[in-house]
Amino acid sequence: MEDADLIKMWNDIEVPAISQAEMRDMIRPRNQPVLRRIRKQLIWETSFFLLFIISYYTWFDNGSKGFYMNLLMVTGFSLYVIHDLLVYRFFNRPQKGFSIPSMLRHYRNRVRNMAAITFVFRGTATFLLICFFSSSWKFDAATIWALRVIATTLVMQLAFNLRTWLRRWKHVIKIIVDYLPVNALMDDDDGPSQGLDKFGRR
Amino acid sequence: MTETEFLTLIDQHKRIIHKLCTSYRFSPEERRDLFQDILFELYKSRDSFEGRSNISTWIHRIAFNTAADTFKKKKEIVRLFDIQELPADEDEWTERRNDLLEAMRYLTDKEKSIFMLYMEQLSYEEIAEVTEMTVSHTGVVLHRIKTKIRNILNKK
Repeated sequence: MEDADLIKMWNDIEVPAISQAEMRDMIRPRNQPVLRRIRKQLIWETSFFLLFIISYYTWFDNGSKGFYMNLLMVTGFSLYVIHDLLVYRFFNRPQKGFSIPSMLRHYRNRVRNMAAITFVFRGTATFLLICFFSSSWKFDAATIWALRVIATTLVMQLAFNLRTWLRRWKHVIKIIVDYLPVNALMDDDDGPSQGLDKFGRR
Repeated sequence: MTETEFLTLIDQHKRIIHKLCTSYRFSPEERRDLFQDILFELYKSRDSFEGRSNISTWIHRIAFNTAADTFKKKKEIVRLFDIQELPADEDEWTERRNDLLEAMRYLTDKEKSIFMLYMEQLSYEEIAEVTEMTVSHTGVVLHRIKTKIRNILNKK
């Protein structure tokens, strides 16, 4: 079989018809599944925080907390919202790079930075909120359980977020190691590329 | 580049994106999702396209990164198939076209991207630039990929 046969087969592949109107819909950020999910999360978290702030004076003993404790809470909630906005921005930014490997490397750096941002922002927010909730409760069995539930929920949420970014980062590194051409041969049993360590760094 | 200019440009080259999606994803739903993801990524990156460069390479760069980043839901089981003779009529050509796509499922993502660039009739120099390989290495790699594809197609 000649190259020309392969190219003919390739050129003759049938593709589904898609109109410009459909494509126009596809490029709308509101129709992007990932961005839509982040927007939903942002709306849910902001609504929850607002509801909490509105109601906590009557439902909890937080009205008696001092200014700095309230500041901890507001800062904690704000960090969650800012983090959501940063994630939205991450997915809404264009890709950069003049070759496939350079694009992957650039993307890997962005994912790594986002993992660090997630750790710092959500970690700090979690810490601040746990401090806030545990600051002036009169501890009895019920409040200790409530605190445990709140702390576990916040820590699990942090762990889940962090795991998502770390998995993405590891996935990109795997692709880079697989792709990098400097010495990468095509066989599956070839090792990682020269010039890269096991973390995909040059 | 305005939205209308972008859509006009993509409309002329959407076959490449469709073929990329077909190569990287197996189910129609996954292909459509990937098509949308790639289109959105291209739209966001439209200012990085310079009219002087080859649009195929620009689309491939962004499409590969998008396809590789999104996790595949599950690996489909591919069936081995056999072809003994060269196609004689149109029906057989249709079958061969599908066979080519099926054969490509045995390639790694990297091999697919290089093979597709070659199928789009880019020069070795252009492929080398997009993949950061040397021109001579590109030739070696392409030879291996084509041999692999031919072996699969000839297994029947």
